[in-house]
Amino acid sequence: MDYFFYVFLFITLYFEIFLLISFFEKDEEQNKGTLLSEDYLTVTIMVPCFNEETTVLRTIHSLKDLEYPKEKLKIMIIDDGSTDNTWSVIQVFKNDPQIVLIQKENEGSKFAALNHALEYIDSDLVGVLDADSWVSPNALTEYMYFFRDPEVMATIPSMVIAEPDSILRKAQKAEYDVGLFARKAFANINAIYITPGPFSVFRKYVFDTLGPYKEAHHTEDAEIALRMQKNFYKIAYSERSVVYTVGPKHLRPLIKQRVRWVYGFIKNVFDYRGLFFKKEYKELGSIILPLGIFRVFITVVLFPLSMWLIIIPWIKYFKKIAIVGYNPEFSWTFDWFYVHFDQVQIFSVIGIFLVIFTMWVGRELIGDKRKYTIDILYMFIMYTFIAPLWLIKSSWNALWSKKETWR
Amino acid sequence: MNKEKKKYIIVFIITVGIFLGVFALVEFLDSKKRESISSLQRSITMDLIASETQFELLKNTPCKAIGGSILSRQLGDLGEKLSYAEETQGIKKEEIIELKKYYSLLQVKDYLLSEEVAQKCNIDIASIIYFYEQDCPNCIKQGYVLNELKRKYPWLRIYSFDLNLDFSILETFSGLYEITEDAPIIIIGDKKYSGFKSVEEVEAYIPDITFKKELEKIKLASKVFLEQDEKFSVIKDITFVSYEGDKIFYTYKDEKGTLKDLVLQFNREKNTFSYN
Repeated sequence: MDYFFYVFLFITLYFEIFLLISFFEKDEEQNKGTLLSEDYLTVTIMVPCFNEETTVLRTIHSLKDLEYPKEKLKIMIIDDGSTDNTWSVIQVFKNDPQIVLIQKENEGSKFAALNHALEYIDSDLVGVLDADSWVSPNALTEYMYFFRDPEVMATIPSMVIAEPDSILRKAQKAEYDVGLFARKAFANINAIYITPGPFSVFRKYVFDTLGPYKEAHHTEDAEIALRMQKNFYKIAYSERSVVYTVGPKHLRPLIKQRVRWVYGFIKNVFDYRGLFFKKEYKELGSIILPLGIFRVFITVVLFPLSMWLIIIPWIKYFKKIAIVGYNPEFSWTFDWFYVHFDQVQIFSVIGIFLVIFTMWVGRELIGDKRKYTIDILYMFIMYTFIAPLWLIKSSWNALWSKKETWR
Repeated sequence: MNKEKKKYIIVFIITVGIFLGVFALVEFLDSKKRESISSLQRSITMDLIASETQFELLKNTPCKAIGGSILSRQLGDLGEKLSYAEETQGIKKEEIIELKKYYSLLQVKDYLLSEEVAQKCNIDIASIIYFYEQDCPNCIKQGYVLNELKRKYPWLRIYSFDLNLDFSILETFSGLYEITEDAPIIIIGDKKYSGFKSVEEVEAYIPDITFKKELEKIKLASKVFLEQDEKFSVIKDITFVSYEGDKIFYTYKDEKGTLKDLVLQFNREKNTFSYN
């Protein structure tokens, strides 16, 4: 058991160090110089909505506020058979030349709505923006530096949790900041395996050559990225394009979301296991996909473990106080004998430092200079007490191929 | 070698390096612990032999020469370290068992020696013998209580023995007390108490503590008595000397500055004092 644990720990640490080194690898100086007018490609952004009457306007306004030539940007809003007032809310844009409104019947999946919209699109680039997210004004322009490279087939943004107003959302904010680090590291070695719903922009060519979105364990954004990787299509990461999204506010929706993500990740990676250990897929095939799952586990085993190691002495201390009362005694004599670390504790400390450090560098990417924030603590608590739930559930589901519903 | 392979190998070397570093650090700390314990053991053994020899040498001299100094004070220190090491698994299990056996042996020896001194010199050495077992929740609680007592009364000698330890001397020793009950068991004087006992309960079992508590009370009361008595308001430097039965001995200086004795007699029934 011990050896099994250390092997597991070794792989996890290997993966993290691999990411760290990849992160600091010199990235190609792509976004230098100024954009010429022909660098601004025609873009259509699809906004699929299902019962998003409260958030969709903000999303659309952020798109309209993009610093981008108006004649080159089209916004396509797809009402996926909402049962609330979404359709009537978006009617204010009925006469807006930039905006196209589409209504379709709900088929129970996002990918169907996107594919439906794809049929109407003939721009150079196609993007997606979930109706619970909004973009910073420079987001799309920044993308064009990457699309100057004809090999770049898609570009993804920096995702940030907007206006965290609850402990759970603050925890997710910290978590997303760590995610920025990983995204940059993946991008440096051309190993991005997900094109997230909030503001991923593709060349139309991708869908023309590889086909539309597919049913993919409710995570079509992971499937399309893996399909692109399989065909050696390059995916870039534009760190300065910030997209704001809202995380689930309550526990149950959060767990549901994560179960869907992790389940989808496991299943999609399994579907694309053909990429594993193939020379031509480089780091993605040899390390990132096969070991990616360990990154999920680091949090689920090491966090609870280290939290537990911190909590145990306190439990003992309070038990003692309950019996003999509180008799503080301050002694200046210090005996090194009573300083005890075992391997697991040291690794936990290393792990925690790695997480905090990667969060800092993630924040640096988007110009956020804050270092010690309470979010970090919330994130640790979330990963100690909540993450194991979603991980166990999604692994279980993946094992028995039990699908979670999309909404 | 291509760039990728080189990277895999570099990452591997770093990871192995961190692993080796962590294991080496833990091994270093553990070896320091073992060193600390064995040096304590050596010095306790030395103390014990020295005490025995001193005792033999001074057999016919007044007990004052021996006093309380003969007994090793480091025994409690060693016990504390051993229990910490056992709890945190800082030292391997097999090693801990060997160390505990040796510790038990030292404790028995220390106990016998202190009994002998107490008898010959007619002094009272308050000691608690404590038997515990592994996986016994009450024993953990009892341990807290005994540690607290040790903190409150540093002169108290506490000997603790693990009944699960497979050690012949320990069997003989516990056989003396005919132990059949479940742990925790504490023995004070010739009385045996089983089950968890709180701090207050154990305090009540130790004659020295109840005695000293009473003494403190009487001392305080006698001081109040002297302060209130008019006759003593003119005299200075009243100093407590000793206590014997219900008599409390003081010294004081009279008007001329000569040192004089004062004996207060405590009347238990009336709870008052009288003097000569």
